[in-house]
Amino acid sequence: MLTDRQIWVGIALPGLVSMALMLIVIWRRWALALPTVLGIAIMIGYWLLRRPELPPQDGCDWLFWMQVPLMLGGTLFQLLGARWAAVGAIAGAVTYAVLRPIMPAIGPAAIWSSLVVATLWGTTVAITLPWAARRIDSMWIAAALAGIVGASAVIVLSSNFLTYGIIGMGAAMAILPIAVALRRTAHRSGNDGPGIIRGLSVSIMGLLAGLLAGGRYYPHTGVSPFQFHVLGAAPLLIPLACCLPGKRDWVRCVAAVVLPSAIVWCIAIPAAWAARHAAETTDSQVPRGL
Amino acid sequence: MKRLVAVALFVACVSSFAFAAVPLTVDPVHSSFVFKVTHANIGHIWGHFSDYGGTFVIDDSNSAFDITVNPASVDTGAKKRDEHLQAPDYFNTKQYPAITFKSTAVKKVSDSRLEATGDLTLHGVTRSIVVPIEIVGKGEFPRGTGRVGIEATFSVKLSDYKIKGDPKSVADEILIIASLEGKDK
Repeated sequence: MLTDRQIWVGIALPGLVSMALMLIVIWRRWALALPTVLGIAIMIGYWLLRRPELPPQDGCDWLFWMQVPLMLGGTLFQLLGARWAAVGAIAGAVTYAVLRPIMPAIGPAAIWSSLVVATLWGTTVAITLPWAARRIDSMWIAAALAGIVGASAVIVLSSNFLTYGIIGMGAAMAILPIAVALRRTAHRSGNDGPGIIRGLSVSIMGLLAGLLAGGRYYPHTGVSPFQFHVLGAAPLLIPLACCLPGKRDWVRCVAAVVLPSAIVWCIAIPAAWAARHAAETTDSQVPRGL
Repeated sequence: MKRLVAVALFVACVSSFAFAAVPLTVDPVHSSFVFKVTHANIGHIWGHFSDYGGTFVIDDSNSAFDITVNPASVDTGAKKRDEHLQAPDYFNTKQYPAITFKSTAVKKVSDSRLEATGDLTLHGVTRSIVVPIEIVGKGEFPRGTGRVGIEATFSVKLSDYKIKGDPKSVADEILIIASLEGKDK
């Protein structure tokens, strides 16, 4: 059960900060600032919810401080161009940083396999999402990413990692104003949609990989391997939806949002429902069987 | 007859002293490690740890305590809550798999009371605390196995150990009662 403070500070505030910053971005035509807007919005909510330690002590602290390289990486990739898709590998670095404190408990194999998977996700998304942004409006891509991050946060929250769950929900809320303002930003700044999506994809995939890896390995009953892989790879459904044939762009736009959202929320809603039921059940009420 | 009684008393005293100075291993079957926490400033929830161990010595001048608790064994009667307590929001048991208390100095307050100063390590943070200890009793059970029962009641603040759960739902201060029976074999 979330408290008022967790809802307002952890979830709503990043959305409000992002909205306020996006007004400045639109006014000043700073399309290059979008990864920074996202990072700052997440960091403010996180800071007020749970003061992070420096040097970082655990996965929560690491995910907070990794927002800085994610902001830089996103901006850099947006600036440098599509040839630098390897920047997407930063998702692997985030995964490593988040899991490193529990290496003695989970073993190096778990960390390295997660790192490899996250690196693959990050680089593939960095290559394919800008391509998708040439086929459909980048606003829809950002909206789909918000849905995926939100669903991942719900699953992480359901797996008993409250802090990560709240941060993920706050991040999803922070992506929404960016998505809404994206079309206007891209046009007014003279910057292209694919460029903006390049920057955002690095920031969002790094965050998503960190959330899922932490949610999988920190709690004792964490995110399942199935949920981990489906949610992490869900952004790849966006370019897949863009492959739909036909002349009507709106069909591809709707498919790009609905296809990944439907899949991730089909996983997230039952998990949240089961977690809510379990939270209101004592051990003596659990059927023991015969 | 008087001489016989005197000898018997002397032997009893010596054997009692010798028995008490032996390091005693915590017997989890006859011990309890419980805690009480206030939920949302409304009510109290009691829980316990089921996996703990260690040794202690009860002696006039050289008492010592070395106790370890596995935080992953926390049990509050609700599995979902226990799993949440194990997560990084609270104990972070994957990263910090043990809670330890090691005494650095033990002061005898009375025949049945001690005051142990020691290092409590919780959530990776070590702080010196003072724990009042009551010696509940001494005896043999079963015959030939010497036992000493102690009980320590003390409080810790989660914020002192950088545990940043939600203070609105779980109070910062937790009351801990460790009722331990140590045996010499």
